[in-house]
Amino acid sequence: MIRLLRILYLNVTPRNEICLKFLLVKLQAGEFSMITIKHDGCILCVGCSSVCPMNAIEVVGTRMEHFPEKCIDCGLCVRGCPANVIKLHKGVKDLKDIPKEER
Amino acid sequence: MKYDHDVIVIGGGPSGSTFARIAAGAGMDVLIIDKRKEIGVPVRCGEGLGEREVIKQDLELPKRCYSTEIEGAKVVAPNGKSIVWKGPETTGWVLERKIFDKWLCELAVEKGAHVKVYTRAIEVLKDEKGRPNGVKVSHGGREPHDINAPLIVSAEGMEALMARQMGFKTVHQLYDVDTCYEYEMKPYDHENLIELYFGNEMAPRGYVWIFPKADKKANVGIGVGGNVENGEKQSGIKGANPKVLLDRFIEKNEQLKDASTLLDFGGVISVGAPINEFVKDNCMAIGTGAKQVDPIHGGGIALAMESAVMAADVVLKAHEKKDYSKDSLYEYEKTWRAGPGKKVAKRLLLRKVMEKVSDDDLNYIFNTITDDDLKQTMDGNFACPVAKVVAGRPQLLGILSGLLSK
Ligand SMILES: Cc1cc2nc3c(=O)[nH]c(=O)nc-3n(C[C@H](O)[C@H](O)[C@H](O)COP(=O)(O)OP(=O)(O)OC[C@H]3O[C@@H](n4cnc5c(N)ncnc54)[C@H](O)[C@@H]3O)c2cc1C
Ligand code: SF4
Ligand code: SF4
Repeated sequence: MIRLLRILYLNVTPRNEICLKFLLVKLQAGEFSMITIKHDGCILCVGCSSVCPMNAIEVVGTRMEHFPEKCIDCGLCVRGCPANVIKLHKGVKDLKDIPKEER
Repeated sequence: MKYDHDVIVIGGGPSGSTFARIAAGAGMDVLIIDKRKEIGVPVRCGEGLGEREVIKQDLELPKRCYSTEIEGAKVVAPNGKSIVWKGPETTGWVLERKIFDKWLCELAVEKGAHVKVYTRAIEVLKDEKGRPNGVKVSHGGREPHDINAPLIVSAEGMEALMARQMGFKTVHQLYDVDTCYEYEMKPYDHENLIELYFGNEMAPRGYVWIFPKADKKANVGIGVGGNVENGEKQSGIKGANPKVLLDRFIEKNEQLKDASTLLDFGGVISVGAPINEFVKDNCMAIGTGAKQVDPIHGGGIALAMESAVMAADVVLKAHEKKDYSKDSLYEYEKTWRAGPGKKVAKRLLLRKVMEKVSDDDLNYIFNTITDDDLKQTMDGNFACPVAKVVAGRPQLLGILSGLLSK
């Protein structure tokens, strides 16, 4: 719930329609997902951040970092990643629920 | 307010360095910041560049900046039939981007620009009216600090997160990007031609390229439409998987099958329309960050440098007047849209029409047209080639008429 409020707060001025749409879907379903990046396979091409409508993935230092509080779980980054290393874990609320080797 | 510099350029790629070279050359105090540890590294590019574009800027490209000189292009249809196109339009280089980018940046430094690498812009600072007046940067992940300037130029490439903060619409839609994967391979015998392979099965809404390099090396890469759904991605999501498709192509290619891979990387490149505005009060966007990329082949180096020149010319005038308002900078946008913008719009139209053409029709088209038709098509004169194709296959009129209406 707190995450939902945070997302809503960050989206008072939604940046485009897609965000609004996904936000609505999320509200209705009350369901969350988590994004994970396998850093081993990542080639730092910033493809994910260029398609992310929410600026929720950025390069920090020498690796891609995902910011769940901004993310709306739209999955666009998964489709945009040429190295296929981003995973969307449906229905997972907390990183702790994802097995270590998949993070 | 006291400023640290006249202008801050975010990004030291071809567009940022070109802009800085001209602005600094005319006496402006320019600072380039780039988040990379070394300018030009890592390379994320097919490295093809048409000769004309650089000559336009009176630059002499030193030998070390390119690997091979290119005499022409070979375009291959799904059934293997190819058209070789040689002419002044198709000569160029396959660059060594690492050296090329650094060389461009060095030229800027020689003109007096300052460069800071491993320095990431993390926030655009704004005055009370919301106009950018500086950036917050972090050097090598250390404690952030502020740098101020009356003009901020975003030359950020695909990511363009700072440009987003300035209010530019730089988020990419999947439909308007190609996801790419590329290997540098050896050995590959070539005839100094860039080779482009088309086919919906092999590279849906894109193509496979082989750009020859010196010492029997070649950049072998693929770009596929970001919105195609022909493969399984992580989490069961359907999407394009360029690496898998590229591996498949290489397996079937007699020469490449046994070649070794020396470099392995990927990327995403815009193939859509440029952003709707390039300038705002006290800031502007140039190069790939403004989505100024050729929608047909995804080439962005030439366009990036061209737009940087236009932007710099306008900025110099604005600097004289000390007026960095949107109106004063708008001339850059106007010149761009009247020049390269027109060409890009035509290429975008062509891309959108070609993605509807099936492999069989593509084979037919390649059988019918000549290298001259190909040249006309790339120049944006569609009438003659379309007439030729439609004469033999009238059913294509429906799709191809899209090219004629404008
Ligand atoms: C796989 C692939 C193949 C390609 N092949 C070709 C080709 O064959 N021919 C061709 O002409 N083009 C090609 N392109 C496109 C070409 O690479 C780009 O168009 C070109 O590099 C654009 O130059 P630029 O200066 O606009 O941006 P870039 O070269 O991308 O430079 C942007 C710079 O900004 C820096 N930056 C970004 N954000 C920040 C920040 N917040 N703070 C500090 N620094 C920042 C980055 O580190 C980067 O160095 C290809 C692209 C891809 C992905
Ligand atoms: S799912 Fe990916 S693209 Fe969508 S908001 Fe989250 S990080 Fe961004
Ligand atoms: S798109 Fe994939 S490979 Fe590229 S930076 Fe993002 S996570 Fe890494």
